Amino acid sequence: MAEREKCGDFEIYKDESDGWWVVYDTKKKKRLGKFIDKNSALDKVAFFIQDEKSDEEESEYEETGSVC
Amino acid sequence: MLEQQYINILIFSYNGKSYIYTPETRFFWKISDSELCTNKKRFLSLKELEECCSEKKYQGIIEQINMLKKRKFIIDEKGESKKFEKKNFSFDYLVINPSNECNLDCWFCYAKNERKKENNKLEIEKSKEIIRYFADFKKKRKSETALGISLFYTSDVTLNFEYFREIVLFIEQIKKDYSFPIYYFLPSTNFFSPKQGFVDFVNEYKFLTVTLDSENEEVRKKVIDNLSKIRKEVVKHLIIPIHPMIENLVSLYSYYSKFFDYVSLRILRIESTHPQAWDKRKLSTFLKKIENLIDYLLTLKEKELLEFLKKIGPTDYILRYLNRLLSREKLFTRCPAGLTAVCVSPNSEIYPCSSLIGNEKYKLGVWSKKLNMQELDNDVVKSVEKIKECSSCPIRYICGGPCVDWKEKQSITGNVNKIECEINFRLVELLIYFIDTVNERFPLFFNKYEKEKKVKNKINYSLDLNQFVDFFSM
Repeated sequence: MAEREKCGDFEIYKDESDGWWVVYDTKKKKRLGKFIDKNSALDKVAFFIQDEKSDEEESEYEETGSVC
Repeated sequence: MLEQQYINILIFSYNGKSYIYTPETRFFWKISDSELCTNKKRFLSLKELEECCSEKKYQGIIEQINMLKKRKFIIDEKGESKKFEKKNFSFDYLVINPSNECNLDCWFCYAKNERKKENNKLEIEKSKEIIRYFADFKKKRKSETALGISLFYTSDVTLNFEYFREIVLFIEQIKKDYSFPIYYFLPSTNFFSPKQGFVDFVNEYKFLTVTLDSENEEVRKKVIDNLSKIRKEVVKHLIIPIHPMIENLVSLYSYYSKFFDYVSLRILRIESTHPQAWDKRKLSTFLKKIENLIDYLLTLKEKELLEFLKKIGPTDYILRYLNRLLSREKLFTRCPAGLTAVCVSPNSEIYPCSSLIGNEKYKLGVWSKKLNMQELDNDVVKSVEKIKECSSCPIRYICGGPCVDWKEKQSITGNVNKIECEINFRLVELLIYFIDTVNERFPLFFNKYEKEKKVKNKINYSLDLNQFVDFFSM
């Protein structure tokens, strides 16, 4: 197995058996996907780090009740 | 060259380290283990940095920013980020203030001036009609969000507890008529002389919030004595209003966490004519106290630090900034006042916030059965994107803009309150430094913190900009 490159909770490495790039979440201990090239794997990591989906789920008025 | 050469980002140095914070995505990184410029610590745009930093350092940062932009870790204001949209007009939070009575006379009380006026009391039947009216309006609007109701923000609930209890029973009765949830909050109390009925209610409700003038020895002693009436399983939360000349912040947290499960420090908005009023000199002393708190936290071992932070309450001013940085939350407005929250005064007048009661400029209307709810639509609290001074500020989405009441107290006619801005900037800087330093020492700390405090930790990337850029460079 190729050397793993790490950024925070995420790792990417080349699977020598098929030459594809694997994205791995070390915190969740979960493989997030396999990509034909390194750039696509990095895009996937960027997507997970940016995590805009969960931002949209947050309400802009989340802090309520006693806010002052 | 960078296309958006003068993009608004925050770059700062603290304790020999330099950081970059980008507003639209709320990412931050450590740029280097040294200061970027000997005579300036904070830069609000790349243009400012270019004027101060060496050309070699500046070009290195620009190259890294170009990569971050390519992968959309940095986007400019015109980029594809989520913008503020005003929701369908309806209210989610209603605070009814039936009276201004209090058994204490705390110097910082927001209702102090109102209390001097004639002491009207809102009849209980009228409070019920108001609750019905707001709930029916939500129903007509087909609103699915919950309606939260509270009472007695401008007086102490213990003095009129029977009133509160009757409203609770009323809320329980009407809930079935609505498809959205309706719930009530027990307001904060001074807990100076609670009657048995209130104590019994709290023991059943299992949550107590006390606001304490920590410098009043008589009050402090009595409140702590009164805690013995409360069962052990009740979660006890203490709010301490803090002013610029307050004693050591570490001692406040440490001392009161012996008696309460959570302690929240809240920065006071003080009238400009008061001796304790904020000014530049007092601000500088206060910021030093926050620095001392951060320094102290960084002396703790991992377990001790987690224990300390565990005891800080949910409405603590400093902790909120820490949580916002960790969750990369995007805050468009500072609070929901007037947007989804309104309050009613003892005279039936409607205001965006209980602290603004009595200030005619902010009166939205007077409640009557003929009230047209559309009249209450207002823009007292604006989105940061609509405030000229905030729209290009690098920390706009973490601060959410100015507090209208604080500006009023400081007699500021402009859009922003520089005292508040400086506190918020300093908090962002100190807490970014804190997160990075803790992360270096205890790499799993914020995962533990996330579990303990139920705060989303999105610091799941390398905070070292060189490492981050290397990882994403092909």
